[in-house]
Amino acid sequence: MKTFKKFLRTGLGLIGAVIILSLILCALFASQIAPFDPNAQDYNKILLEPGGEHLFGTDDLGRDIFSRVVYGAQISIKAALLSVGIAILIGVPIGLLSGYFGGFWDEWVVMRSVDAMQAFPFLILALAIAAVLGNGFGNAMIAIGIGFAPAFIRITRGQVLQLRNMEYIHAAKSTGVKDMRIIFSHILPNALNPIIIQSTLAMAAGILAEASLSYLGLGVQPPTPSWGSMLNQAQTLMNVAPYATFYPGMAIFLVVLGFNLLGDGLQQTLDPRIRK
Amino acid sequence: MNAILEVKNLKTKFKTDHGLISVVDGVDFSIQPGETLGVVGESGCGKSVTSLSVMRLLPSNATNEGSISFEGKEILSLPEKAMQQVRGNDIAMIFQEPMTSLNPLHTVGKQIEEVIKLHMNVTKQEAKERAISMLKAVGMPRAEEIYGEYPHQLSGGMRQRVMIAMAMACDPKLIIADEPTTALDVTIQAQILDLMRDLKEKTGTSIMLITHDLGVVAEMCDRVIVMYAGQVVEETDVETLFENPKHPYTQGLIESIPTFEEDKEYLNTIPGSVPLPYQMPKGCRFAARCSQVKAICHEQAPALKEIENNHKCRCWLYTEEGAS
Repeated sequence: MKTFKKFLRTGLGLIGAVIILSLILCALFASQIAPFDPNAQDYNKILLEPGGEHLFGTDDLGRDIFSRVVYGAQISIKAALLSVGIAILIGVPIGLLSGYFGGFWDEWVVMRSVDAMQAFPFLILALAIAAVLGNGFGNAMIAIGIGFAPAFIRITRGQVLQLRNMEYIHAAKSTGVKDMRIIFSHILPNALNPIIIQSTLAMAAGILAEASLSYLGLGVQPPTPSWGSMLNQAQTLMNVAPYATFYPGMAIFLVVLGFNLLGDGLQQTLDPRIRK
Repeated sequence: MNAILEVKNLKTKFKTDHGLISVVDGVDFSIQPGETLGVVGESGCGKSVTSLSVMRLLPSNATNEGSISFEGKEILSLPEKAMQQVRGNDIAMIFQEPMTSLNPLHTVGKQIEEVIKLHMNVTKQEAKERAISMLKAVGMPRAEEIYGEYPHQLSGGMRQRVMIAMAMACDPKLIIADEPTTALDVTIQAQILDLMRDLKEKTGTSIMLITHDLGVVAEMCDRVIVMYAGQVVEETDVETLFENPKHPYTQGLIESIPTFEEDKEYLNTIPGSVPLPYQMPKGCRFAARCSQVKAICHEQAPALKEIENNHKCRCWLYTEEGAS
């Protein structure tokens, strides 16, 4: 409760939360909010300017851009949750085990692999993985998730290194608690805060990465509305219909901003070092 | 009598940037059933390392030689799984810092229960009942409520009581208390010591009490070993230690206790500090700080010898070679 009140007082974090909440509502009630079928083509209404019946205008196939942006929220939420979920599933257990047991595997196998992966620009890495796995939303998510995993490994391992020397961990060991139970029942809950913060920040990057991969044609396949693929298809129309790129671009901008603000807000509330 | 714990020629070495460092060098002692053994010495003399060796909780860069036998079982060669059965069940430990020895995210009750469930074949309900009765046994008021509280809701003294409850939960035969009262203020210290003595009398467990506070030793212990730079320098019963200390280091320690009778401007101190583990002198390790040092002390290391009945001392002063 105290944490929640503190979070409300961060201001910017609250704005982030409101943006994310609206995104979630958009995704959940897309069929109620959107006035048109996002994939319905109407050749009598190609490239209409924003306003009137079509709030954000229509694209080159006569599809309502507003409806497509609303439905695109579903893909973005999925992208945020799936990519980060995969990254957590890979990164957190590896970070926990590697940090707790240490030694050769930790220092030379895990951490050096992490270094190698983080040396690549993230998008190149995700592109390479997506290219190997093949087109499609699921594969794009796996690629992004693998790309994010090193950050989670690093952050979890750092926490474990600090926590495993805490006296209560020694105390738990001195009562005969087994290693696995110490890792998952005693260390993990105490390491959760930075992982949560990293997750919200990674969700923003995940949406961005999904948009980028879809833009490049490796993510969501047409006609499914995704903000990235909408940008991709609209870029050729930049001169005649700038609004067709503006709205999905704006949506990406807002949501990424929202997740970043939420992450910063959570950090301010949860991180004891910057707690006032 | 059969000793419950017998440590023979224990040598602990750490792999560090300075090479292999010997922190504990040939320590021998034993603890009888129901006995409280005090282990005294200043910081860095190997007290805690010795106790962690008994629990086999040393960091992975440490190696142990020698023998530690608990009820005739050799602990140093026990597989890790069997060792987990010993920890908390046969040998329990109380730590120095009650403020950080409890997991901040689990309730007090859950932490005591964890030990009970690990080592006793009980149902959930029985474990909870036992946890509450343990809290009552360590003198906690409103034990049922405290069962559901988190460590941050308790004071330092109460947390140390919880630690004691956890340590006692499975009726261990030996409790290792590593400076259990150092972090507490004086009145709470007295309460915790009283509690430990009471529980010891009721359950008959042995205690290995690690401390640098000779006042605590006088109050609690039956027998004392004095450690210096990784070695035992004197071993005797508690009365003899205070009335007739033999080793110059022990004498120095006892002289440096402030007393009310004398009105002195400065307390007595022992000059110098403990030699670093990677710069151990050739002869007696205390020679550089000793007030009664002789030529032989810088040349040859003395051995731990029985100089009187039940009184061992590692010093040239009490040998023929040193007397000449």
